[in-house]
Amino acid sequence: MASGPAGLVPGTLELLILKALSLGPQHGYGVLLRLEQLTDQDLLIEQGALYPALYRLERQGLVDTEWGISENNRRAKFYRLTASGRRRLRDERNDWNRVVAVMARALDAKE
Amino acid sequence: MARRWFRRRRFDEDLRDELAAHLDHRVDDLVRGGLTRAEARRRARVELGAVETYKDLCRETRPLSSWRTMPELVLRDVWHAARRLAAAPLFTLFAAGSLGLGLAATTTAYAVLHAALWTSPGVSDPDGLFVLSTSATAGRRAWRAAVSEPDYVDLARSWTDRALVAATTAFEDGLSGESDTEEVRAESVSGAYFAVVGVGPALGRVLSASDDAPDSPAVLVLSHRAWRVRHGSDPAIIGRTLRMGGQPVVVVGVAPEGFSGFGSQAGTDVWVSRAIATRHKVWTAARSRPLDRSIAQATVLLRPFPGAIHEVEASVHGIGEGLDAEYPRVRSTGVAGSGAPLPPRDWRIATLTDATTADAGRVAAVGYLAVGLVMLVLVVACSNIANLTLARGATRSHEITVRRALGASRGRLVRELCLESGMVAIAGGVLAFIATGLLLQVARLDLPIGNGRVTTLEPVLQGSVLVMAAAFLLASVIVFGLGPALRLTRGDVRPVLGPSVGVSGVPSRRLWRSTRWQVATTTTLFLVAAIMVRVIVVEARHDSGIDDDKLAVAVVVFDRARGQDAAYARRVVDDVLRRLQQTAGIESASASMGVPFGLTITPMATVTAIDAAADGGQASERFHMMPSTPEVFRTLGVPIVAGRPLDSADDITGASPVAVLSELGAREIFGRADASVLGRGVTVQAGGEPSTRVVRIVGIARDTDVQNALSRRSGLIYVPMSLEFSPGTAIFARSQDPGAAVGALRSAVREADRDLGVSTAGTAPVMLAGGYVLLRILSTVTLSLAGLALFLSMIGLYGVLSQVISRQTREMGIRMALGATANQIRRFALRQGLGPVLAGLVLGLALGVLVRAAVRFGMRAPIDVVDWAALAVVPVPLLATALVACYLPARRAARVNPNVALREF
Repeated sequence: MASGPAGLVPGTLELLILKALSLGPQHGYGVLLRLEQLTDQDLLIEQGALYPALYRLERQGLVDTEWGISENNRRAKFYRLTASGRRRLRDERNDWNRVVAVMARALDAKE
Repeated sequence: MARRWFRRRRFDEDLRDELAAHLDHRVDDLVRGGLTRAEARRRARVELGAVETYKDLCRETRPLSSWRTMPELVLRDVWHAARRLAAAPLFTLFAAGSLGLGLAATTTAYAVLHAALWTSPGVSDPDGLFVLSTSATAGRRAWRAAVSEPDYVDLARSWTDRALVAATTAFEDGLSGESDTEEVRAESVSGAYFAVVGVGPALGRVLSASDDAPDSPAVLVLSHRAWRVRHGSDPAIIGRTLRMGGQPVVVVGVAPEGFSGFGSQAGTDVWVSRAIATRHKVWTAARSRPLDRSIAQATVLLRPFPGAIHEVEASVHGIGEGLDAEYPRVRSTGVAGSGAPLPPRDWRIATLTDATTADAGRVAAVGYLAVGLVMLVLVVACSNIANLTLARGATRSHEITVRRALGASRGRLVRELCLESGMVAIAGGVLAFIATGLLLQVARLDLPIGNGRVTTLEPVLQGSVLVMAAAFLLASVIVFGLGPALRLTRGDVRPVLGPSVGVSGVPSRRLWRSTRWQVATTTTLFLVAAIMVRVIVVEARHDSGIDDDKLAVAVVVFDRARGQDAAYARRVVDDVLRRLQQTAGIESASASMGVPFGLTITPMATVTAIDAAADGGQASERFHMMPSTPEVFRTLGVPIVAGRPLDSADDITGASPVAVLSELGAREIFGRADASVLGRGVTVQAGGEPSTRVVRIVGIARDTDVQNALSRRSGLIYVPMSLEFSPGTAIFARSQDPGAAVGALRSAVREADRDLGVSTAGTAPVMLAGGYVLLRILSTVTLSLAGLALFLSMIGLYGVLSQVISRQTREMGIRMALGATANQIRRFALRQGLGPVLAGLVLGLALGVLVRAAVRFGMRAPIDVVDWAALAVVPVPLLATALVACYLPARRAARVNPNVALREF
């Protein structure tokens, strides 16, 4: 961990959540665990910050919710990606990759 | 509506359940990782973060139905702001309290000062109203606002077509109703007076030109205050006949509230027409030599017609010079046609505003100083809020960053933050309004204003103050709401969402600077207030020489012109004293003509030692003289230090003349104040009388204040009342219940002669308080302001420092992890917090000394520029507060396990 946990670029949390949900429906805590997995615990997120993001995604119709029972028998609210959520993930990923590529090219250019 | 409410409730329950599930899952995981359940639960909560903030953020994602968007948005913002304020109750309470108390104190102080210092005469358009004044000698700056009656008549005639001109002369006389007679402050005015000042009647009519006719009926106009106090605001007073100076006079009107006339500082009680005053011989000049141009008793008021101001101003000098040329003035000798000629006078007119301001220059200076102090208190209150907001802002930057990162717009955040401070400001304003109302009730006072007169201090909220207060409220919203809001939301969102970043423990330089200035302001304020403390202490410690606790005083002024000569006066005095001695509860009663403290005009006498060979004394001195009845020493509680007091055998006509000297008097004449003085003779020449008489000194009395309270500069000689007569007579009664004794005095005088007015009466502390009352009000106001400022500063300082130090727990954790001891940690915290306080103290002490040096020029009393006692005392409470505020959190921090400190703070 050369540079410590990385911060989050604004707006990227929602993208990461969409990615986490693309692997299957999950409750809030599960989303968090998946994010930690996905980022090799290299990204520090205050756990509560997850929920406003989830609620916003729900509001935009990108995820659906329903109450269910979790793997260790607790009542929990599950989030599931909708079709438009999937579409949004794809678009955003493309955009992101493009931006990253452009930025990397620019920053790595010989001085 | 109900459905919306249920939906909303359902939403909140779901949100709660969801977060609870999150915690449960996390706890399960942590327990599996080896933690105890309790430890796991605590840790899970910390990791989840600021739950309420996140709940709010979740709620905000809920869609709003379109047609009620606007009000709902506003409501939601207000609701959020209220929730956030409620979540920090101490901050809210203190910020609103600080603002409210600061505003209330300053508005009240300003209103009191305004009522005490700047009473307006209540005339319409004071800038258009002019007062004529002359200087005794051309070129000299000593202006006097009085001319003789014939001068006034000539002046009025030459301005007939350019201005309304009126004359007024103040005098005092007994006014009798059905039951009692009371001395009133009166003005005898020409018919144009009320037209010139632009005041109409509140009831009945005012005087007019028709009242100037020599054969017009005797009428008077009551002041609103006299009407209220003496006649219980009885509307049937119009048309009633009273007696003034023993003559019947009909009440025709009541002047409006707020118009106090020009007769005296305490306000005029009645106005009578000039023609009547002359006919009834109620004022000295009119009755003896009405045409004498050397008796200047008429104050001339004029209101130039529109456009004629410059013409009138330009003509004053010429008209005056013409008068002086036509009637050359001579030094008065009392004998017509003799005396050296006097140079012509200088003439001018000045607006009423200018004339009164010039008179009250010193009072105004003191007043401005007080208003300056008032402003300083507001500054302290506001800087308190600034500091708190800054300190709170640092904690909130985390919350704000989170919300920015989650997409809240900057405008939205700024709006919310401003709304919060706006709500604090409104709460402060409401608090201030209520507190001011209460304080103004308390500040409604009857004030003795010297010579036993009482004026009613009625502070009212000034429009200007309300505007000022509103401006401060607005400024506080902008400075303490908008400023931090913009700063907190400035720039790009730094990538801070992790718990480790965001709460920066290092306090901003701005916060320290602001703390420093707050401490400095309070310190300065206190050093200046210390001046007032000294004054009060001097006053409290001062012993007037008279035991005034159980003393009642009434003053009667005899009028020779009405046959109230020495014999009559003596008869009345003896009668009154006899009645008093028969009254239960009166321990002793006496009378004197002229008294200490300038209650009446005390006659002066030149006292000369007969055996001038005397040892080192001045041999001849001007003393105050008190012709008294023998009991005076016992009644006033003045001890005799050598010899004996006067006794009743001395106080009969034809007795061998004797006198008692005050210690100071004895020292001035004989160089000593002991028994060796007894039996020696002095000649006494009463002021203005050519004859001298020889008296023998039989006793020496302890010194008392003479001219004013607190002054003891002049010697005093007591002689029997049978020896000398002076019209101003004070009657004293010593009683365990001085309040009741005042009533006894009044009724004794009334029974002795129905037409004799008691000019003033009251208990001695009130009667003798004199002009120091204003100083005392000022001191009290200043002290309470300084006290409030100190209180606010102490709380503010505690709030800021303790918060700042607590927030550095993490840094302290690092230091301890690196091997610092608990002691070092405490020292670190103290150094952190005390630095700005000490800097502020030094700054404030220096500023205070500077201000004191500046104030010294405006004050009569000597002021030490460097008051070591004050310099030593002022820093103590602030330093103590700072110490406690730093020490407590530091001790707590030093106890925390460094690991915990690093992880959680």
